[in-house]
Amino acid sequence: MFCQTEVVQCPSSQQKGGFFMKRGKKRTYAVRRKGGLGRRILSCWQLYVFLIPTLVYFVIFSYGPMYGVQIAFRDFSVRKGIWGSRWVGLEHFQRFFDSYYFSQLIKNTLHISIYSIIVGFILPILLALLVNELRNGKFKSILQTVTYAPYFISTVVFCGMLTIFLNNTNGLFNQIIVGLGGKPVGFLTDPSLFSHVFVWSGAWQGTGWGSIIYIAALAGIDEQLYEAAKIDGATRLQRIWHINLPHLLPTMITLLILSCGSLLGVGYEKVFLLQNSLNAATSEVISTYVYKAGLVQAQYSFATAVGLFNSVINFVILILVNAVAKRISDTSLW
Amino acid sequence: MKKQQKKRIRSLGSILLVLAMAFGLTACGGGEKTSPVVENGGEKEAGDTTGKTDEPGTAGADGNFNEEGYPIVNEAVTVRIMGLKHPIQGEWKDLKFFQKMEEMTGISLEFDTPALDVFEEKKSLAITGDTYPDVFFGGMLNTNQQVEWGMTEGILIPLNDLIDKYAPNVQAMFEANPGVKASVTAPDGNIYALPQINAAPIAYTAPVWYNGSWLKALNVTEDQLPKDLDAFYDLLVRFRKEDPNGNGAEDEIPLSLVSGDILGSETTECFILPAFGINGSKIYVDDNGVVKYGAMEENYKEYLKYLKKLYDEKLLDNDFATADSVSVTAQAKDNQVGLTIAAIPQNMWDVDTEQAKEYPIIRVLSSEYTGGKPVCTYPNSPIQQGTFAITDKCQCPEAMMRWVDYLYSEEGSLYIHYGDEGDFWEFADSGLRKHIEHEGMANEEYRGGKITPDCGTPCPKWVRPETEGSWEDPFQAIRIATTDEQIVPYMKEVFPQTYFSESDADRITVIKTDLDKYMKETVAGFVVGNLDIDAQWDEFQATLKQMNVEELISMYQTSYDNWAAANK
Repeated sequence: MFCQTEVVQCPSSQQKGGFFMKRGKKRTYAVRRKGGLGRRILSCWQLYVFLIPTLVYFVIFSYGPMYGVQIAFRDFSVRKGIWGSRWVGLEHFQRFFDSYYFSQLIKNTLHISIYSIIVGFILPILLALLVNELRNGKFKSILQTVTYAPYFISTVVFCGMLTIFLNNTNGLFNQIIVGLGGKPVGFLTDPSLFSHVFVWSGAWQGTGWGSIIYIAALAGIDEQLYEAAKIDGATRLQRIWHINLPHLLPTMITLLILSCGSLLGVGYEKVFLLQNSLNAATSEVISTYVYKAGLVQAQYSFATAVGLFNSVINFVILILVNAVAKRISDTSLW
Repeated sequence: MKKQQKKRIRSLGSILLVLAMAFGLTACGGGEKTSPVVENGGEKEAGDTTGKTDEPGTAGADGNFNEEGYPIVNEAVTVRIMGLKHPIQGEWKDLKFFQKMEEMTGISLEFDTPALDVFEEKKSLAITGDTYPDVFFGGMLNTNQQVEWGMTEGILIPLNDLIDKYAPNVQAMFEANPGVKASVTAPDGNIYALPQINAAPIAYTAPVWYNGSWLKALNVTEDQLPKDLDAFYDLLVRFRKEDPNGNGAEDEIPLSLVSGDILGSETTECFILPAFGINGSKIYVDDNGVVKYGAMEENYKEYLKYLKKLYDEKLLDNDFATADSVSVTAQAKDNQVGLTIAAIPQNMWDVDTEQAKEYPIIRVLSSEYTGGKPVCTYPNSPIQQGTFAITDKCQCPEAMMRWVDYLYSEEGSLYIHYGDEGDFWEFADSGLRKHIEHEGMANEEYRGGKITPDCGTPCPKWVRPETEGSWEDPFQAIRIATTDEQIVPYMKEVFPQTYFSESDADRITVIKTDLDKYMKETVAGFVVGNLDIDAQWDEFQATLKQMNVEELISMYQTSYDNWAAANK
């Protein structure tokens, strides 16, 4: 399907759609076509019709509400509305940067998200390579089902389970630890353990699901390559290293760039649900802080400023990572 | 064959990749979406206003409104109200209280009733989204919201004139309870919301109970209950070590907080801390009218050490940070809890009313820090702010003022709590009231589920002190007697209900955003030992100052002085 999108007659659709992947210079031949933009669009209008719902969606739900971002620079008053409130410039940003929690929030957010990006990036690849090497079809499908299954547990239920299992005195894990003669571990009350609990429970939940894309990509590798490698005497590890990984590379980079785009956007629900007064020192991230200040305490302007800061940083990181990836590996989002 | 399969898998993979990217995008957009709730609210509101314009001039002018007697309005008027719905309550439109009020007054109500955990959020969103109701009933409008939405925004209308003209019972309440009017009057001299007044001490003191079966097992009589900090500690140790629940395991939790937060626990804040001569962890006012911040007092260090000792010896629930009322209730039903807060012991432990009589209320503690004088505080105020307010959308404020005034009469305040005679209660031979049992439903379940919102939701009313004693309930009688005898003589108010100027209120919000968070986390950290009390005390104090706690104190002092002056 990738190859098909690349030779599609209308290259400009790739620019509009935004997130189609291109591979190096292969594509350039398709761009060189005669005629203006209008004529090119007209010549394949059917494709643009398909594009409309997506465009409408983004205009209404993503670009439309952006006018509200201005309240980050205003002293938002309910009565006066968004347009009528007083301008205060960067006051709310100033307050956030001066806040006692500024450095802690940034540190926690980066720590949790880099940690989970690394784990969440490597584990699915390993699992996919593993599954790909399995010969027994039945075992393979059972393994895949078992690893996918946790993904379908809702976050709320999942966090409820974690809180029960990790309880200091009655929790399953601590019962086992104490039973084996150890001391109970405060999984959810020791601030230094929060990121591990968060990331590895996430790995348990998401690895199977995350590996699907890689397994599919591996299935697409031409059998001849393996045969040739075998004849040349390549070991199994060498085949993985020289055939499988290079084929996975574009997919890996695309997914890595996408996950880096949300570097400061750690999933809000799970952190919030696992948080308590004891682990807050390491579990408070920007999104939970925005929720508490903005919606619970009704400081809309302040929370918007913090949220906007977050989005801008994410945006910059996304562009940087994309540029780096383009230079190094010739793979990028646009 | 195999090749085909591979191809299929490959295209599936591409689809998934595309989907993953699309999700990445929607996730980015997610934060900007307006909540669908607001949109629904908007539609509903639009529908309502058109409904209302069909019956124009509902109030006064056309003689629809009656200044005396019932019904209040001759032709039906519809008023939209917003209030907090407690989970125990049935749908408000099905509650007998509202149906009866509609029958009596001719005013029919439409309800918007968000649940407790989202109420503050929904309320703010309604104001922001201009979908706010005609009337807030049980709307928990705190003083800052009254100032902001009343004084500044003009959304809540001043009630003073309406009270003078149409609310004799509210006036009577102000006269009978000096200090109340000062506490509900905003800095501009207007009253924007009516309070609930509950003059009976058991309504605002913290009911902390001992496990009576454990006391019995340890041969501790009511007279021997601890009255100072050392004796309290000793009893908790006995709870832990002497297996009072008799199951052979050391699974007793002597002191359970029912809160993820030490500062939010009534047991520690209202009974243990005051025994250290400090009336609150945060802002409080001392006997001389000087505002202080509890955590900055030197004795606060001793208090933290005391709690740490309880925690280290497992006398204080070691899972308090992740505990909630559900988990604590489960533990209490298993007879694992020695001391905790609950409206009545039956709500916590697996006991009936007869057995509950053996579960005594905590005795006020003293120590050398208080010079041997027992001191406690109460977590709630007899004044519950912001239970009723009228907004500028309301077409018939006079009628709604008369409507609510009924609830401040003796009859009305009883009615909103207990409903009709013969339904939830009847007169016993003694002349006192008694419950009518309903099969399969606990009393409160029936009251909240069928009769009234005044079961979990703070509603406008004036409860006379004698109301609570008007029941033929031996347990209730004991509770009133022990509270009057054991708690009331020693209790102090932490800080009265006062107002702040809007600029101060804004500044306080800014300071408190981080300060409250810091306090909550640091105190919990000190108690469980994540932080070292001696080594990090100075750092703690310095950080509090860095967070402008002194500025906070001075703003509270100003506000207190104004209140004290208005009260004279």
